[in-house]
Amino acid sequence: MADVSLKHVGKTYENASANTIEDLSLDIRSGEFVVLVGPSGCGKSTTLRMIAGLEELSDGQIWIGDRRVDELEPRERDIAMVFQNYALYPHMTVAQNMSFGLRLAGMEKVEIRRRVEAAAEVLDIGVLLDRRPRQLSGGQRQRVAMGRAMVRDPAVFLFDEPLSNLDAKLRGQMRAEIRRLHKRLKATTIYVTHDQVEAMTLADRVVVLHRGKIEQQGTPQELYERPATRFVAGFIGSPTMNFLPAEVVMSDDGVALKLDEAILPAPAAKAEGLAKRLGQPVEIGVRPEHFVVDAAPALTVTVDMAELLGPTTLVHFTFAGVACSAMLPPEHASGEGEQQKLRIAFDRISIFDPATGRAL
Amino acid sequence: MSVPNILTAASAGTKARARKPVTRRQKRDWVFAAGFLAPFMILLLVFQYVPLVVMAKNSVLDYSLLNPAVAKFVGLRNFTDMIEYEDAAVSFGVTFLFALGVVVTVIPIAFLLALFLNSKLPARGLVRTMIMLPVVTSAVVVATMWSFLLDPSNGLINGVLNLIGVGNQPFLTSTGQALPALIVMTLWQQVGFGAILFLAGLQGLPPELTEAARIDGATKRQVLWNVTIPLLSRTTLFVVVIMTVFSLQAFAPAFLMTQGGPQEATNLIVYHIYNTAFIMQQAGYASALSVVLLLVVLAISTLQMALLRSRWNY
Ligand SMILES: Nc1ncnc2c1ncn2[C@@H]1O[C@H](COP(=O)(O)OP(=O)(O)OP(=O)(O)O)[C@@H](O)[C@H]1O
Ligand SMILES: [Mg+2]
Repeated sequence: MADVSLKHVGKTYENASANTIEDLSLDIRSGEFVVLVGPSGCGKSTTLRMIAGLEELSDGQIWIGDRRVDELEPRERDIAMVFQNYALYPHMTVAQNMSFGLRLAGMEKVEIRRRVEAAAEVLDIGVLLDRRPRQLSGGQRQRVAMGRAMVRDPAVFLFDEPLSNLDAKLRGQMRAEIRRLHKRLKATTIYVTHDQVEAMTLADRVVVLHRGKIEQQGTPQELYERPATRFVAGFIGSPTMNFLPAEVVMSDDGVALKLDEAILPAPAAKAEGLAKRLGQPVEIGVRPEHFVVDAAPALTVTVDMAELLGPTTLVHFTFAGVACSAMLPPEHASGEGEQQKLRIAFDRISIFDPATGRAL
Repeated sequence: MSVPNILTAASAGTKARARKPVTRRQKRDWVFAAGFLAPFMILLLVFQYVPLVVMAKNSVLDYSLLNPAVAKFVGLRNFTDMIEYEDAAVSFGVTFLFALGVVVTVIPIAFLLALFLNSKLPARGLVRTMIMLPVVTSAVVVATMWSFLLDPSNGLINGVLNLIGVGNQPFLTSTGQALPALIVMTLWQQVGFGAILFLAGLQGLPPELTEAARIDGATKRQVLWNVTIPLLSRTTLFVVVIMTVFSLQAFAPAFLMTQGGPQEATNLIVYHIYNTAFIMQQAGYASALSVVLLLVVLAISTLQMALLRSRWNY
């Protein structure tokens, strides 16, 4: 177990025009489960590979525990990594795959066996120990890859999209298993994914990367409830947040937002900030579940399409010229072409400056 | 698109056709396959398989090329002669030594060159050109050039040896040095080809495997021994078989540089066959030698496949 610290890390690939990572600083506490998320190409793998020692830094430092490691070989860093395509050695059995690192380290045979068997037991792959990787299913390979990391008992675990080659059901299972393992081992873990469900369910802390920079970091709940930017708001949460253009106006009851034709009183917590922007445009973010149907309907829209998702219905409609979706209880949802009465749960909305994208 | 169909249809043979009526689609596939394969198959038949059959037939005859019409059936006498007289054994022995020498030197050197070409070190382009040049140069040119280089009195190699204080070496005129000299020349000529094959193998390896090994704690050398080399066994097998078959059939060096001498020290089997047929005019005996060579090449490459296959069965 160890802290991991990235100090002003930068990375520019050879022949690349722009920096892939720019001045990235991140402190990870010992035992913490940190998830790096972001869209494809934002530099998640690059960051992870720099921590692993597979990519050189162009700038900055990386510390693991009290050692500066960015000049060290991967083998000197006391880390283990699980790759997206598992990277199992095809010419070795499962047991040999798992024990490879221990054998290289010259560990005693008895101890190697004890560790491999213990890990195999935890991961439920005991019966597979003599098989070759090609004789395993995707989920089994995934477990072996995790086992190979576990037996080494490293200071830091690195995962690069470990579940993205699995089908949805298996992904759900493995997600639960990874969480269970982390509870048990309490190892410092850095986990890369572009799947925000994985990020939300696994992380102690989520770090959202955007174009090689940290856009926001915090607990999953913080990111969900108080996104710092429009980018984070759009990236976290599924189905995605609706963004509606609005204008700050003064009404009889104080500061209000003019949305299409409707004039809605601003949320109390934000009224003061908005008062300074009278007459200016803002963008408001409403999560699909923050459209509600109750006794005080404020808007009437026409339903373009209704998708029954089981416990909820996703109702698509156009409002203020923007395609929106609302997650409603099926009994309150109208059908296609029908009128739908809605209220925006105004105390839950986010408000962004349309110019900078920052939350107000 | 239709290729797998053809293959299954071809291997299933007549049995499958008896069970299922031939569809129009299958018929069309057959016509297409035949059309594409015909030019190649006809050439192969005329220039490869027909001569093979003729060779097998000739191996039980005693005749001379000057007057092939006068041929006498001698049964297996040509083969028993081979056992009785030493020429065949000597020549096969020389050829095996030659092939062994070529293979055991080409494989490691070609592999090291491929590692170098696959690295990020400078001068890769230059080295690549240098090692490929001999491969694409005519064997005759190479042999002639090396004859000059190896000249006992004023060759370049002896010049260099003199500079570092080693006296003149006889090379091709010495029974002890002639075969090693030919091996070195062949190594020089073939190593580029081997390196390119290894390079292709190296570039086909998924980079994550070496990365995983490095993270698992392997040094560069341990990665090489434990991951790269085992994973390349398929390529290694291929290079070994190619080089073996090539060396067993080498002709130009013996013909152009040593005429099989001195004292049969470089009497490679194909050159010996040539001599027997065209100089000594014993075409039947030469055919019998060819049949044995063919069987030996087949046996050796099959053995190599069998030995090495178990290693890459994953
Ligand atoms: N070896 C390389 N050489 C040059 N550019 C690279 C290299 N590897 C990655 N990049 C670039 O760096 C950027 C970040 O890549 P990276 O692999 O870190 O993205 P990512 O966030 O992991 O994306 P994904 O979710 O698709 O895996 C991309 O624009 C990519 O094109
Ligand atoms: Mg990636």
